[in-house]
Amino acid sequence: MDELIFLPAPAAVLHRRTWRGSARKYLAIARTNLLNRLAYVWDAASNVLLMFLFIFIFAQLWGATFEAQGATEIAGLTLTQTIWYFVWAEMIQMGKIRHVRTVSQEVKDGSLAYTLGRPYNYLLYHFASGIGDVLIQAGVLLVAGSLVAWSQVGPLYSFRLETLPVVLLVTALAFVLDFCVLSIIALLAFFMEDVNSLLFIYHKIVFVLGGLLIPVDFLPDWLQAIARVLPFNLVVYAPAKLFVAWDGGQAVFSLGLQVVWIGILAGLLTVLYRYGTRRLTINGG
Amino acid sequence: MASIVLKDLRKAFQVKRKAAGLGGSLASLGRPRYETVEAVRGISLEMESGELLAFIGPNGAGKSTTIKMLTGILHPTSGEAQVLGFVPWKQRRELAYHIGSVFGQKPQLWYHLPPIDTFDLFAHIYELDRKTYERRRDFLVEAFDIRDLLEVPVRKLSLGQRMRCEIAASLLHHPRIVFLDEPTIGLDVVAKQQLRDTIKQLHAEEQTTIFLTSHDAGDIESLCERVVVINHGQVIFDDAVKVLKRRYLRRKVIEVRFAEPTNGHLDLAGVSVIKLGRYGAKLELDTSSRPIETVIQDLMAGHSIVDINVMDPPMEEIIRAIYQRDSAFEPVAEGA
Repeated sequence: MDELIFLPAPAAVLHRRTWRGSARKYLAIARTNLLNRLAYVWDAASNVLLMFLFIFIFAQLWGATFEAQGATEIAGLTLTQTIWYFVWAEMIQMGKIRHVRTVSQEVKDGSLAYTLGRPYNYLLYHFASGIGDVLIQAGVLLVAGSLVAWSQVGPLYSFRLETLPVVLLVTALAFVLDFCVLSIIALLAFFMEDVNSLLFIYHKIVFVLGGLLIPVDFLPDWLQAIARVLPFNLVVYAPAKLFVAWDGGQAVFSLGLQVVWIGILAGLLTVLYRYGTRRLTINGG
Repeated sequence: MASIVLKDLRKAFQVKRKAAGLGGSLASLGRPRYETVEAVRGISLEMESGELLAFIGPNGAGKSTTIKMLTGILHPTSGEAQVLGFVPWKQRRELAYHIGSVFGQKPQLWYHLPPIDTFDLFAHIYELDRKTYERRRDFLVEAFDIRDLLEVPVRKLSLGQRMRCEIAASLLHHPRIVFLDEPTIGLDVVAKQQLRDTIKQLHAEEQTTIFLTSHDAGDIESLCERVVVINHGQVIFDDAVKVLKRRYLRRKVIEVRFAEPTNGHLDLAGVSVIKLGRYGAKLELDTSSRPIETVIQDLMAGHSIVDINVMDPPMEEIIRAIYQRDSAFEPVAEGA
């Protein structure tokens, strides 16, 4: 064969990207995935059952703890606030985007050849796929958790409606932050044999340092100091705590820290994506 | 104009090796042993736009790896490639608007949704305007005869029905090149033929460049003009299908089952008997010396037949024949 002549990409075939086209694209992805998920409606139902169970058990456990201590507050939180804290925390934990398994499955069965070969940003594609699911799941879980909490410890009097937009914003960023960490794990599946162990470790860290086991305020001081600067508390603790005990200063601090960590992780993701697609090994043929 | 140009394209993978058993697993934990497997070993190829090319070879020959590099999914270890003027792995998203791909063994349609939902999604992903999309969709629905399947959840479709929808889906954005990786795999004879006819018809009408891989010599014979055979990641044959057929696809194997026991011998001119049992036989025939129809006629005249099966030689045999004929290609030792 003769010397390869590299033609410039013909101008006429270059695709013009528009914001509107992109937005529609990701909306359509979210919509289609949500439709597909309707087939798994029993999955969601099982989450609701878990939520009922968790909040009920937490109410019993913490009720006994507060009683044994003879205290109305532990580390600044009343029993009512503690239980409602867990409603918000579990809603985030159970509602999160679960794309790690999807991505590693795509690598294993080779369907990445399709999903990676389409004109969109691969990670945004997974975000869009997951987000519709998140909105529905979180909504249903919140209602379920609230019902149990209300019946066990009564309404959350400390909640102030005007803080809701900011609480929701912090919660939304919590989902984004969580998505970034999970995406790092997911992209590692491009060249690691198995990433389930990493996923397990991350979940355990969030469990302890993120405030899912107990609110970060209940941790010993030295551990609190560490937990408060790491990104994990921003995923569960920060939004849940703001929900039950509003603190304007804390809200600004959390938002700032969330933005910084999302920035850092997004940068890391870009580098990892470039590296990962280079090292990618697709199974099968 | 050239649509696809490959020059000395190579791809090597690092594969972890471990000895059998628990001991091997533990040793592999401490010091993993990696081995380099060269899946593609310097492929050069040029394809004109509008060509219909068959890219064939046995399992693990490097067919899919090549397709994945041409669609930008995999980065090559070395070498160059250009698809429609783009370097695929560098301009994957740009290129994606102009190519379509179908991997026969992997579904791309949403499993629980009817095909029409996936079609709509693709219209958005490829940013087609509504009118263009609908016109194109209606055309493909006719061409692939899938009107009645559009609103049936994909999980309820048969493989043949699903495959027609899969290919229609990959053509919605009017790609200039289509990569079909084993599109007829697992299909029955009728479904295969139906799919081939549709692909052929579309190619004739739209002059789409089609890059097809297959295990099935029938696909190649009935679809393509040009065939490239690869083995161990290298091109070992690149010529017209006619040439391949004349040289290597002359041999047919006939398997026949009789209703009554044979008298122990079977004598047909120009046919060699590989195996002969009481109720069945396996025959081999060189079609250049005698057309297959006459052999079948003779068989049917002399015996009452329950079942008859005509097969092409398997890919491995064609490849062996290519090596034997052309000593310029040194066969590579297994596992090298």
